[in-house]
Amino acid sequence: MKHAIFPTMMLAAAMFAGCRNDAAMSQAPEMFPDYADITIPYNIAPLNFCVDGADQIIVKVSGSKEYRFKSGSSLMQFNMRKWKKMLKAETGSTLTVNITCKDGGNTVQMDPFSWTVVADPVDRYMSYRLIEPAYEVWQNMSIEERDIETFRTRLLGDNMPTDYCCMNCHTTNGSGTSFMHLRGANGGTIVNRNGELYKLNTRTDSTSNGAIYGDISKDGRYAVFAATAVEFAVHSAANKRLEVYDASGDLVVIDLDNLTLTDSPAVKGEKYQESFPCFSVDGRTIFFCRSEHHPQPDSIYSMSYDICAVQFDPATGKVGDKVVTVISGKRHNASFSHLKCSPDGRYLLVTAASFGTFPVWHEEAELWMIDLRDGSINVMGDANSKNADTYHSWSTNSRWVLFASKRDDKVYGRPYFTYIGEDGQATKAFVLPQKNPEYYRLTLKSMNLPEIYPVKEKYNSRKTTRMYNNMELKQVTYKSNF
Amino acid sequence: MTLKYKRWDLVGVLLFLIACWAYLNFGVRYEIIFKEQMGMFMMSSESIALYLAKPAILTEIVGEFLTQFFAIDALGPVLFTLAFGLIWLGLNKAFRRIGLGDASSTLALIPLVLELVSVTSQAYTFSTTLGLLVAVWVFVACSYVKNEKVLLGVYLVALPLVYLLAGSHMITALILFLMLRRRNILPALGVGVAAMLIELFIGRHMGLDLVQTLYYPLNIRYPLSPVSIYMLVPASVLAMALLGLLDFRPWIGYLMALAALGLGLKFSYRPSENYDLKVATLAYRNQWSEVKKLAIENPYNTVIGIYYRNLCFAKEGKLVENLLEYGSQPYGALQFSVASNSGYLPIFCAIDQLLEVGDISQATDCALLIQTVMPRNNSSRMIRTLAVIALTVADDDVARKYLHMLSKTVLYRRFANELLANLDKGLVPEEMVMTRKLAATKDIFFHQNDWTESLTAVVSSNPVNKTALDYLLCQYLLGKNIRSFEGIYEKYYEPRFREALGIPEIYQQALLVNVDSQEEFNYRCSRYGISPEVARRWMDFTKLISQKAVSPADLAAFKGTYWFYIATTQIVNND
Repeated sequence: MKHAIFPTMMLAAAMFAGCRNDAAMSQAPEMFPDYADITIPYNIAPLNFCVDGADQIIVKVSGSKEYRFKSGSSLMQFNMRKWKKMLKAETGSTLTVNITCKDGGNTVQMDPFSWTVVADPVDRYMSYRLIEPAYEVWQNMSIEERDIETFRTRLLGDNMPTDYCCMNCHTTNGSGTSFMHLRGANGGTIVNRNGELYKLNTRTDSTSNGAIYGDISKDGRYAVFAATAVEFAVHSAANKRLEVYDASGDLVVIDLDNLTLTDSPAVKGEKYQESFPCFSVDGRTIFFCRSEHHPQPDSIYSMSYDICAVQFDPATGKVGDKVVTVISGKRHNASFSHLKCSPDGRYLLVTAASFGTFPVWHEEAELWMIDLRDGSINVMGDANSKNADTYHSWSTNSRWVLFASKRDDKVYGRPYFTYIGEDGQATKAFVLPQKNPEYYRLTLKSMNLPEIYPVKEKYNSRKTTRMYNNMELKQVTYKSNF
Repeated sequence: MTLKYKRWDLVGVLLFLIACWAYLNFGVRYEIIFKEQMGMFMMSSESIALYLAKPAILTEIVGEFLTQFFAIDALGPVLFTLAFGLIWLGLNKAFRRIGLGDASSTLALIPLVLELVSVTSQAYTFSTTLGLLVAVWVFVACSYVKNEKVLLGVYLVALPLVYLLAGSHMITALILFLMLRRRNILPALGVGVAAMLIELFIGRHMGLDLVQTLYYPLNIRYPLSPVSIYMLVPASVLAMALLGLLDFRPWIGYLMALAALGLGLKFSYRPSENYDLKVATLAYRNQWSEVKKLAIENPYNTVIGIYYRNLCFAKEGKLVENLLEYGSQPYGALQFSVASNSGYLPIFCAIDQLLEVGDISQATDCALLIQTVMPRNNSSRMIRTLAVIALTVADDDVARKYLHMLSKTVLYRRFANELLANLDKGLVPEEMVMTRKLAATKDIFFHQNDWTESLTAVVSSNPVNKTALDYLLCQYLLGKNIRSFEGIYEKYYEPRFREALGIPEIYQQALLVNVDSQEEFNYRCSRYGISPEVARRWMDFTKLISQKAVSPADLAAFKGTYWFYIATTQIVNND
């Protein structure tokens, strides 16, 4: 029994050891996440953070008056009511934050920093997909909705009861219409029009691929999609990862009133590959990115996507036949993707990478903002980082941008916010606060495809499951408009 | 029951438990140890909170916490045996409560045998065993309520609570409850149906479908085992309870338990699987001399054994010399071609060889792949591997993340803290720096499962990486792809290694395979410096195979040569 006694003692010892906090606080403690010197909306949830090794954290926030918060551990989790009260009272002010950390008898004062609380609120809800950042395979995957003012989350889709199908691209127009794709045997595109839900088959005999990335017009009648064939290749270089590319791509527009699908010779065919379309605010222009087709993956470095535009007539649902290049990718040594118009119609926010159409794994990918009045480009230096900054979404007041950033570790995507001032300048981005600030360091899920909107979705994952399993698929019919 | 009989009863049960422990410790030790590698328990409120989102909250937390200690040799079997002992005590009491009398103690052994059989499956976690423990004892505790109406109410609350805290073994408690109330079964059935409906409601509320609800926490997508094993224990509890109602002599119970034990061990004992897990675990622990010894013995001739034999020789720079030395060498045992349906073990193992040759790209791919396909999407072994890979390629930020996660565990904390401290000082362990030097620097694209293309990229980036070159050349040889072998040989081996190291005999033999004339033969002998012995045997071989009928006995004279491999091996592509 010697075998048994020794391990049992080890177990007991280890159980006690497991409860210890080994990390000693360094001389210059850092808070995680980095919430220093940022601009925040008055309606954001508490910016909880942690300081490794600290036994006690005291936060002193100075504005029109002084607010004190205290924590007896390395995690600073603010009192929600006190936090809300503070932000409400201090809206429009710049707060000075002093943090004192104690580790046993050792007290360390961190350098003070500021929080500028602006009166422009961020839209209250956001969605994101939780998925391992592995490549072409997945197992558990879900789409979650988060209340940005609190820490409440709920599932919009969970693939456990839906045959572990892929679910993606939850997209809203900010005024009641949204869609998301469910793949798998019973899949389809789930469309929500102010609570009326249906499941759509976007494949037709006249189109080459099913709908993927898309956007919805402001009035909710039309959805424009890239119908692309997505493929994967692996880099051999040790520090590079996956390359995702479109083998082909066209644009299609779906009339959600009549369930018809249309396209145009201008945005289909083999010469060019189109992707990431979005409507202008008035719905009369479709912006999209386009590159000349090259065989991939061998010539993938030649795939430089331009920002293009084509006319769209909302009255007839007709896509124009003339494509205009708005910004040339080659001219800027960039390849553009993820086009999103600001709701006030002033800006077009894009992701710029060095090549290709899927910048999520591109370290160099960053957000660029194009002023649609004069075509000037703002490279948003304060918001971008050394790692991939991609897939953004506008708050309905055009003041906040939510985007996915891999700045923390190059692999796991996190939702970051940046404020766009009156002058069009972006501020330093900060990560979505979590109730437990350790969340990002302990999860192996990426939070990708973040989308922000003002009103919460009118369905949940149970409904999504029912739709997947039981709802009949509505077929869109192809309507030639040319 | 007399005191003397009780003593014998106790002795019998103790002997039974000792047998369980011995079987788990000596028979299937590595299957138990491997359970630890398949998950990771972090001491953090954030991680623990995740367990609250699904049923079996209590047993999942406790079970996962304890499972991490399975990494310590022999501790897993001890914990399982302790749990079995408590389950037996509970079942014994439960059977007595439902009126089975003296036969209870022996009948309670049968479900234990089935539990023992179940735990050897990787699908069956320790938390599932704890679920049975909780279910049985909750039944026992509630059964003492005397008032009939109160009793029904208590079970109506207790059964769903068991589901919430301990998972689907609620069914065992329900079976015992129905047996307890068999004389007035209708109200009990009502409670049972209500409890099941509540279970379904809880499952639905927690995002499980019907089957997942009924089996939770067993992962029904587990590739290694059918879910039917889960029902063995509740079914046996029912069977024993029914059997015990007959006039039953206790010694018959012992005979049944012994028979069940014998049958159970026969069906659950998979020595080759345990061997594979042992080799893979020792490799994970860097006990390479042990791995080599085991891999050369390879008593079950498993692919994993052959794979590690190749890897051990490659580590010594003797892969080529030993490639065909030990009998059969199946194509695919040299380098695992991994896909999402490959099973955990080959993916785990594949990384060892990929890191050895410096194919970091595919190693990362494998590590993230297994992270994705694991039932809980985490695994201590993979997080550790991902940390090592990240440090190897100087991805410090993500290395910190993985090490931070490991620092929240009990057993890997020291490992993580040491590496984190080194990272702060800018230090990286020597072996990782060595691997970094081997990695591909040239960037080409290839499809995920194109393993030779990936290896070619490593070799072309770093032509002095002889381990990678040997693997590539041997891969072509085993795949009978002589043209590609010759191309790579000419490009990388001939200019850099021939003069210093000579040409391994198997390469010489392969270089003669495509000879189709005497001139060509002479040219190749002179061009590559083929040894006279190899040349003479080639002549003998060609003479032999030009005969109309070649007997296996004649061919056997060439055993161990590449020509013999070509002539006798049929390639089965496992991709």
